[in-house]
Order: sequence, then C-alpha cells, then structure tokens
Amino acid sequence: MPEESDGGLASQPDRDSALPDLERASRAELQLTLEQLARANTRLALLNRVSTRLLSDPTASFSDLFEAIAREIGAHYFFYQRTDSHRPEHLLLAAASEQESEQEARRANEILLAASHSATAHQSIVLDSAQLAENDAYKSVVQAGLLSFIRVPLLAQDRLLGAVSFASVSRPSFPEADQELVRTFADQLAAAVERQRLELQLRESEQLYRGAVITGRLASWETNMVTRERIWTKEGLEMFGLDLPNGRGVVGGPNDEYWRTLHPEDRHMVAEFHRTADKIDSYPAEYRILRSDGRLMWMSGRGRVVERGPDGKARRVANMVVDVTERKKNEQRTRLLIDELNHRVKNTLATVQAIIAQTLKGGAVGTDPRDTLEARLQSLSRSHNLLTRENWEGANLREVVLEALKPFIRPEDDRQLSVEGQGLRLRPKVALSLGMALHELATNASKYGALSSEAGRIAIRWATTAVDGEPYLDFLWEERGGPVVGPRSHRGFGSRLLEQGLPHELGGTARLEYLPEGIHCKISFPLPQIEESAT
Amino acid sequence: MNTALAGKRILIVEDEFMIAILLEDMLTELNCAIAGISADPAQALGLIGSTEIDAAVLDVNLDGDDSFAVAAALVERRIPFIFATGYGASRLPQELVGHPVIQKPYRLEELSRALSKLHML
Repeated sequence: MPEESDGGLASQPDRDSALPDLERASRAELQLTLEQLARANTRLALLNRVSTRLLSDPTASFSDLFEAIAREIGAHYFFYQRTDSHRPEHLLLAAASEQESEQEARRANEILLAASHSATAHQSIVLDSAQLAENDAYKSVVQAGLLSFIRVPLLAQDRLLGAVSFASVSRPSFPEADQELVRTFADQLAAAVERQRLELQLRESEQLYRGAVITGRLASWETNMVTRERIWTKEGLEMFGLDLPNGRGVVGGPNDEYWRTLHPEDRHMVAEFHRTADKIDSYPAEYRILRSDGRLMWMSGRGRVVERGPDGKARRVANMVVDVTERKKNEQRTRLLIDELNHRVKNTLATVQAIIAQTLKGGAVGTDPRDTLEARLQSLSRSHNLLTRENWEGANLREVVLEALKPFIRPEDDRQLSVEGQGLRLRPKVALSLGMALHELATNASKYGALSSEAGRIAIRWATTAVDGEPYLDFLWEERGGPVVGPRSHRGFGSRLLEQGLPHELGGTARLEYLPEGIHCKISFPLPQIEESAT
Repeated sequence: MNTALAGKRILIVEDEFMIAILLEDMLTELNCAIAGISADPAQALGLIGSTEIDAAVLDVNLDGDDSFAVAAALVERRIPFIFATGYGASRLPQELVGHPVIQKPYRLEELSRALSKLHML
C-alpha cells in the first residue's frame, strides 16, 4: 500500500490545487506509517533474535534479551522468576545509585507481586501510573519511583513455570503494542523453558533406562511391518552379536538378521509371533539365539504392538528381551541331576533286589540270611556315603578299603590290618564294586579266616603298573595267621561276585587262592583317569 | 513257567554285575539260555556278530555310555530286544522309540511278559 501511493504521487505531481495540502497530510501519514513499519520491523527482528537464541541454547543466560526488550518498551527494570528457583534474575538499567536502586527495585517487585497475588499467578498484570497511585498498597512502589509495571506469567499447558516483569520509571503506561511484545517474548521463553525441562526429564529417564538395560542385560528393537525395517538399540545389537550400519535391519527375506540369528530350531516361532501380534497387543517370547560368534543364548521377553493398521494388523512392534541363559543353564542342570538321581535310585533298588535274591538263594550253612542281608545293605550304604561326600565324583581307594573293613576289625589292635599303597582316586562305579567285593572278603575272613582268630592278620597292598601302556592297578588281599584253610568247599555269592563280578564291571581279572595260611586275592584292572568334571 | 521262551538264547547287556546276575537267574528260571553277558557296547557288538542270539535285554546306560549302537545293530539283524532302564522311555532316541521298555527294578513276571511279546524267530 505505501508503495502504491508513493508511486501515484511521483507520476502525477500537478493534478489539482488541493494537492499540496493533501500531499503534506499524506506525507505526514506516510512518515508515521513508515516509522511504525520500521518499528514493527525492529520488533520482528528482535523476536526473531529471541527465538533463535532460545532454540540454540536454552540454558544460557537471557539477560541480553531482557535488556533488548526493556530498551524497546522503555522499561528500566526487568525481573525473571522461575518456579524452580528462588532467586529472581533481575537487572538494573537506569540507576543513580546502583546499590540502593537495586534494592528498591527488588522490593518494588515483591510488593507488586504481593499486592497482585489475588489476581492469581496465572494471569498477566498491567498497571499504569494512575492505577499505581490509586491503590494504597502500591504506595512504596510509587515512592520508589516506578510509574508503570507489566508482569506476564510463563505458562506451559496451564502449568506455571515462572514470570517475567518489566517496570518503567519514565513511562506512565505500556501501550498495547508493548504489552503484546512482552507476551510474545514470555510465550517464547515459556516454550524454551518447558522444552529444556522435558529434555532434562527425558535425559534422566534415558539414563535410568540405560542403567536398567546394562544391569538387567536388556535388549530391544522395533519391528516395522510396513517399511519392513527393524530398528535396533545399541544393547540389542550387542546382545544379538550383530554389526549393522545405523542399527537398521531387514524384516523378512533371506537377509533378515533377526531370523538368521535365531537358533534354527526356534526360527519357526517368528511366523507365530507375527500371527500373535495381529491379534494380541502384548505377548511373551522365549527362544534361543545362535550368534555368529557361535555363542548360544536364551532370550526371554515380550513383543508389544505400538501401532495397528486400519485392518487391525500390527504395523509396528516394540520388542524387549532379557538374557536368561544362566537361568536356563541352571534349569537344565537341575533337570539333568534329577534325571541322574532317579536313574541312580532305580539302579540301586535293582542292586538291592539282586542282593536280596542272592542272599535268599542260600549262603553257607548256619548263617542267618537276615544278618547277611543287613550287613550287605549296610556295606552298600557306606560306599554310597563315601561317594556322596565327594559329590559322586570319585572316592579315595584307602577310604574305600577302611570303610569296608571297619565293621570287622578291632580298632584297638593296630596289627590286625595293614594297608599300604599310594593315594588314588577311583571312579564311583569302581569304588562301589570294590567296596562290595571287600565286604564279601571281610565277611568270609571274620567267619572262617584271619579275622576269626586273635592272631590273624590281613595285609592289603596295591601298586600301579602298566599293561600295553595303559595304567593298571594291582590290588592284593593277603590273610595269614588264622585257622588253617582247607580247599574251597562251595562257591557262594562272595566268590561269584569276586571272580565274575569284578572282571565284568572293571574289565580286569580277579583270582582267589585258598592257601593253607589264608585266602589270597589278586585283583587287576585298568585305571582310567577320573574326568574332573564327571557328573 | 513259560514254555514259549524255553531254550531261547538271550543276550544280557548290563554293566552292573549284581543286576546282570539277577537277570541271568530270572532268565534261567524262564528256561532261557544265556547267549552272553556283556558290560560294554564294544563287547556286546562283538557277541552279536559271533553268537546265535534270539533276543536281548539292554540296559540303556552302560557306565556313562549308552546302548543305542547295540540296539541299532540288533535292529539291523532283526533280533528283537527290550530295554531295561532306570530312565523313562523319554530318554530313547527317535528311531528307537516303540521298542519295549521295562523299568528297573522289575519283577520276573514283567520280564516274562515283555519277552513273550517279542517276535522271536
């Protein structure tokens, strides 16, 4: 518009006599419009500067912005208060004596705020010189030299963040245009403060989440069924052992990194997950992954549908899993142990069944089958104790020998039994077999042999040798000093166990000799190394 | 007590001697002949290749080893067998599921019934 009239004036300078007056008036009007335009332009530039500053660094001090606004509206004081801070920021623009004026200004602000408290902090307050003079409550303010005052709250969705105030010692009032400038400034500042608060909150919750992610071994990613894209978090990539530029993956097809990382036996679950996501918002998932570095891990978590299409099908699914490998391993170990224990119990019961059958079939004349049975079961029980003490990983040969002989020897007589041999660990099965065999030898000795008389002696010795390069154990049982032994009268359970049972179970040889001085028994069997981690 | 089993040659594969002789005694009571007693898979495979066998009773766990290779060799020769084990049937590999299993400790009647159902030649 101004341009148009300006152009009109230039092309037709001498149209009629009234023109000079009109022209003068128009020029004055034009001058005013141009001034207003220039002013509006300055204010626009100022607001532009404000918003740029607030956007670029909301944490910096805004004193220079306040100063610029104050200068623009002819204010001499500004006050910036935040609800999250007790100390108002303020600056003195015009002051004769700085110290005094600052205190006055501070007091003035407090008085103005207190007096306008009833107006609620959520509303703007604009007071001109007349209004200030009218009210007795503002007396001290007027005495401090303040003529006009404007206060605009900083609001973010009705939440009070603080307020900005400007006061002038020379202008009797702030016109509407100035009020508008302060309101716009306040709005921009409120938005910046709120953004800063939200960012801080987000950063804090992000840090909290990161902490939980790291300590809880959490991995997450989002699956987008529409764009066929998968967005991984750093932790997700790490846990799945993936190396993807930008953390972006492909949903479906041969390059689907998630599908490829799943354990081949668990890959069928993916189709199931997709079907479930179309029906249910949140569903559990538990599966194995086989990472490219060969590590097998167990994952447990949930898929949560965050967006559905108009057809109800899942569009985006947020996934979160925890590493439960340790828990799974423990479960498997426990199951294996229970399985193993069950097997052991069943086998032991079968052994007991066999012992009963053998004992009832008839031992030597004059023996009570009940005593024999009880002694055999107790011997078996003691061997079990010995093995349980060492987690069924093995037993010490010397302990096996002493445990088997214990019920038959007199503890105060140290000449009755001699045991010589190096320290050796036996596998559980070998310990049990040898324990039973020694029990039968000792039972026989206590009834008919060296342990049936005061003078009888038993010498037990062993040594390791090698047969065809394999380590062997030569184990000797020698009785002497007991009653004279005649030729073998019958082959009972004991001799069957020794001569057939030990070779059967240990894969070696066993020879019983009925010498006049007493029974000698030589047992030889291969001695494989005990595996350290045997279950 | 069971004439159908009389004279049948039975292979015992069992690592525990006490259980092996219990089984031996039971089979003797059933008038069976003992084709052999074996404590480990290699020995059992040797016996299968060299001895006349009508049927076998296999322990599943042979001192840490399993008897599945022995079972496979028997299947190949069409020699029927039963498993005797402290484990459940769930322990058997897929291809051996369906072969009869008796749980330790078992009674003479259970052994007799299981053996009688086998299709021995």
